[in-house]
Amino acid sequence: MDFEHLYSRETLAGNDRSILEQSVAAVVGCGAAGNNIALNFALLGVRELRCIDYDIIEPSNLTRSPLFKRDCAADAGTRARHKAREVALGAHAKAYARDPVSRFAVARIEELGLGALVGAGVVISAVDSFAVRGYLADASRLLGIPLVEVGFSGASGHMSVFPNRSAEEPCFRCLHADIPTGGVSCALYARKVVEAGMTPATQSIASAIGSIAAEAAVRALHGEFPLAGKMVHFDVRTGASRAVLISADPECRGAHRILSGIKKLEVRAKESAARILAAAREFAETPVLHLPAPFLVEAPCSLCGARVIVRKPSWAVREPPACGKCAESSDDAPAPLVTASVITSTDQLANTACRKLGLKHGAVFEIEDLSTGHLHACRLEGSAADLFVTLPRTKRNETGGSPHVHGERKTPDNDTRTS
Amino acid sequence: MTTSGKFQVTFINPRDSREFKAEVGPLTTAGEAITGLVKAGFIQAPGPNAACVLVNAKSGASILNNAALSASGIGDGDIVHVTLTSSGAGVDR
Repeated sequence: MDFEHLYSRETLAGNDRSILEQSVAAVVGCGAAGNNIALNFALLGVRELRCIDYDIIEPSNLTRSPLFKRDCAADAGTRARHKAREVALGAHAKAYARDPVSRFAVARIEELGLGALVGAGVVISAVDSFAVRGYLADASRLLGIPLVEVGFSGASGHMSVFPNRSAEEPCFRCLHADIPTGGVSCALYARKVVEAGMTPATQSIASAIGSIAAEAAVRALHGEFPLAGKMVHFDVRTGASRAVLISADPECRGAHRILSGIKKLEVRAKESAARILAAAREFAETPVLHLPAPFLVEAPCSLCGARVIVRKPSWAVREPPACGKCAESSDDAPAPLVTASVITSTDQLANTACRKLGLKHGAVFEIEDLSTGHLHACRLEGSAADLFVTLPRTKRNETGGSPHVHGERKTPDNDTRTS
Repeated sequence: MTTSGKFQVTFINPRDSREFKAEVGPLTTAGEAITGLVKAGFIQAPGPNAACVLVNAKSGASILNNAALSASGIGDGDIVHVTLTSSGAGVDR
């Protein structure tokens, strides 16, 4: 059996092997929906899969997650319970691409930044936070990568496709205008969802949504968007479905622009922001670094209002700041919230390492030239691969046999696990 | 449209395409309409894991929860889609 024969049915159905053998798909969120989508990608022969999730597997996940091993939720160590790792391992074992590449990152997507999505042909948003969905909508729009967005509850699910071919097209935020734009509220939102309890879910809806999303993604990889700008609702119990057209909101707070001509700077993540500004002087007279996410310098203690030094990107603030010295609330005026979104060469923060500011390997950000007002899209040294653990390559023989994964190749940034 | 400025709108359920005809006031907001649809049992309360947004069927424009339907291009006899975005895999910790 050769590869042509292996995929003879899919080719007849309209899939182009030469496209899928070069394709990269990023699956953000490796829960039930992410599992089923990744499984479809593996069987459909998508070459590279990037799995991103910071969460660990719980026993109740197993019945909707075909790529998780039966025993990985119980007695296994924390490493073997990382959702992203298990999805990557499971998909790699099922992959029928000629030379499959499977990567995973146990991290939040905001932590990895836009660099984790560079080079992807499609991004899947299968996350459980509205704030992160908003982040992915902006990230994929800025990079001009098609976004397939999914969710479900009970027997009903929905999927939307945003081609991101132009700045004017509708985005996820056009539909959800009140979603916060990242920042500290992400953590607060996540806590609210946890407090809200469980979402009813079954494998039937997870696999149905996995199929419809994978097909939309594969069509996107082919440059086809039959569901562009539409939100499809469907119910696996009744068979009812409905497509709702979404139009662009002229007042949308989302990123309605696409970065072009991204310049690669010879600056590494461990170097200071000042190095970025120095390198930027080649094309900008008065460069200012725009951070992808606000940097929280100081904040009031959530109990007494005293000044607390935070010095973290806003996405890394998961608990309300606390001074650790107070026992009860105070009537004193709270200390101000000090954040930084831009850095100039004279700022103290310019001496801070890029990675501490939230700029990792291959990070994408913008430099503004204050003398002209022009924005330049830039990247740090490094590639998306530096942000992931890459499973060993297992080139398929002509029979398309299953690979054996013996170990994981460590990359410079894959030790930043947050769970 | 009535003399009080009220007008009739048809809401479409996202899950089963059921229709719900309702008379709304000139100042009725999308949020108030959603609350009314929940009270009438036409849709389930979205809860914190989901978000309900009304969409003008003609234009595809979403309607802000605090915006009046009439100020968002919805008139007598118009159709409004109810969309429900849910949180996906859910949080079960």
